[in-house]
Amino acid sequence: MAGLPRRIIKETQRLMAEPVAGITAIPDEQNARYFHVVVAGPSQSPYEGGLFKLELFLPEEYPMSAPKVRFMTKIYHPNIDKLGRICLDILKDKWSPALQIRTVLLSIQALLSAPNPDDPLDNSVAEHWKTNEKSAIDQARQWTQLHARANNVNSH
Amino acid sequence: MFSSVEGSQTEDAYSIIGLTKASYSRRERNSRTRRSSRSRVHDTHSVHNVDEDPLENTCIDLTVDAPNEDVIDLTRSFSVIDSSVVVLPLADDIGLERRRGSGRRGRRRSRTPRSRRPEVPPLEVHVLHSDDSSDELPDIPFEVPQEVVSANASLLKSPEGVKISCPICLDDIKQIQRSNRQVMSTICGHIFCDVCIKAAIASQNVCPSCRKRLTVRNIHPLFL
Repeated sequence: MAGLPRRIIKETQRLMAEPVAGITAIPDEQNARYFHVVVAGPSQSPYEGGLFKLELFLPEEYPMSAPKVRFMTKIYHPNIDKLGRICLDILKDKWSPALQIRTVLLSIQALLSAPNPDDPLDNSVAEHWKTNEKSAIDQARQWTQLHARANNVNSH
Repeated sequence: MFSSVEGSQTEDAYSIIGLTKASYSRRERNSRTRRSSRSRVHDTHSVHNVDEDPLENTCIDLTVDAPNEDVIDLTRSFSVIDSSVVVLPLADDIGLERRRGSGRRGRRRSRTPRSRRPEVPPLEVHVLHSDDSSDELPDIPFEVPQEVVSANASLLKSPEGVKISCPICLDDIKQIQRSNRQVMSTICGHIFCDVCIKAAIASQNVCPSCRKRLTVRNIHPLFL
């Protein structure tokens, strides 16, 4: 794609050459700034066994501004809302141009391992997490089975 | 009175003779500044008595001279580096003589009981032996943390092995230099190319690597 910054080309090449375990990010054929991402639910988490589809877009200002990332697969998580928007500091005010697609996706995977109901995006889920964590985790596990099973990912 | 003093004095004499390695090196550092004044003092009172740990006493009684034949001027047998006069009792002197070739470690153990001690106020005494000449100095264990040693070793061995690149544009040092950019360091020690760090500061005013507050005044070129 003409005018694509060298940084984006380099990142894309490295993502292909050295993929991160449990994460795939493939650039769209039409738009090299748009990535089709699949993140595997971390083990020891209620998302284990799930494959979560995300979209990642590198805005014009990237890397001076953060990529836009959104869950496409439904997920029951206090920091991810119904629309798949993610509450993660490095995607907002804590963005740094030294971060990369790779580190962002690793952070999102870590967020699945460590939900933070004290900084919620979806209040009802966060409330559920705080009042009855066990029940909330069960719910997250059910949603994983319902929406994020491996054969569901491609159907989106 | 006499006997009660004796024990501690023997102890003190030991600590003077057997200066620990740490105190020895500390003394070496300090000696440059003290040397001139001390040698003047000792010139006028060529014989002094050693009574106390030299590290702990600053009191020097110059009015009391060596009281008896029990005291021997070591400058006769040791050419003391800084020309200050060091006086030790005879028994210790013999002990030192015997160990002269054996280096500092041997002297550390020299502890000779004495039958009689003069009653003299404490003195400050600095012991510097000329036989501890420079060829013996490596004998002093100079403790450097292992991680520092290994870090330095790796730097010395292969400076080209360290890959420097700008974490923003991901260009390595060759690409940066080829395109007439400058490798810069922040005051917090993080490396970027000049174009990227200036753009980052303009957009956020923090270091992209550690988030320390930065302005364009807080970066400087690195001449690699």
